[in-house]
Amino acid sequence: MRVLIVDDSRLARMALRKALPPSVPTEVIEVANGNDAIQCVESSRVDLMFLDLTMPERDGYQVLKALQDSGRTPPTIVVSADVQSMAAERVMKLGALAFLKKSVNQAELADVLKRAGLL
Amino acid sequence: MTALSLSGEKLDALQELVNIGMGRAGAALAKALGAFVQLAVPALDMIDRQRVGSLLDQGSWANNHEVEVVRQRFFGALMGESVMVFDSQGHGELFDLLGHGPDANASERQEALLDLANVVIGACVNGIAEPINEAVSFAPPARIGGRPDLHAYISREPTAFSQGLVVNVDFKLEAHAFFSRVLVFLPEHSIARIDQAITQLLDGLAAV
Repeated sequence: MRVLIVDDSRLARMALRKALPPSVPTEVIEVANGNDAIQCVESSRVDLMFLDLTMPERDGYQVLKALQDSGRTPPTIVVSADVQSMAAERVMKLGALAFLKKSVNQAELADVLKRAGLL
Repeated sequence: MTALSLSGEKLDALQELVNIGMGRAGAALAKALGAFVQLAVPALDMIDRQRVGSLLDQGSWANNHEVEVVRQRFFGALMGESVMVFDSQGHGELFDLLGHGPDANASERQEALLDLANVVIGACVNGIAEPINEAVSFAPPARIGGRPDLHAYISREPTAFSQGLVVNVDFKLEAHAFFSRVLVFLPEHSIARIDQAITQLLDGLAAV
């Protein structure tokens, strides 16, 4: 599975990488901003994207909107510190599969991946 | 040990901890006000006392709007002081959202700001403290006043604003005029504790 992790924080990217189920062979690509995320999705195959919301330049909402408009949204799990209930509602409307609060743990992530049929 | 000696990797990690705290604070604010809070990426900066006053002369705050400033100290292995700055342009809407009618008196309005600052600062500071397994206790929030009062307060309280790390978090309410800024001042020994905890955190993540 080709997994794209989009977060401006290296710590967050490391934590997410560590939380990925070890049973699934993954090729992980990391990018630190929304522009690179869009470029990556448009130029290569992405089977699953983990997307942060609060990022400089282009935030997660803008990434989802741009991908929704181009019809190229990969299966996306938003992982954010923005834990407002409205934030979760908005990203689901923009095409996300699920919303996870930071910091994500392995069991929680595995559960979401199972429910999304990705595990 | 100062923040200046924190590596870029550790500053990134601290920024992420602050981001988590900010997210909680935003959710607390959204719940209190029944509105969506727009969050920006938090900014970390080393600062000395002489520069603290100028923090409110930058960006969105570089205007002549009146502000209302509330402070709150916190104690424990992480100790420091936080101030929440409210732009008074949005006060009318803010008090409406908090359920205070136009007849609310000055005392009721002040109490509302103190309550709000208590919730937001608490969420922000705990967001930093909890991931590094530290408990923090808080003094009651207290009103400082407007811009001149903040400058005077900083001059009077040199220890609270000695050189340290300032964490700058902006909150804006979508479709409302209200916006506010939270500044968290952490002195050197608090930064040393954070540095130690982040080292452990990063070591744990690296050991995959």
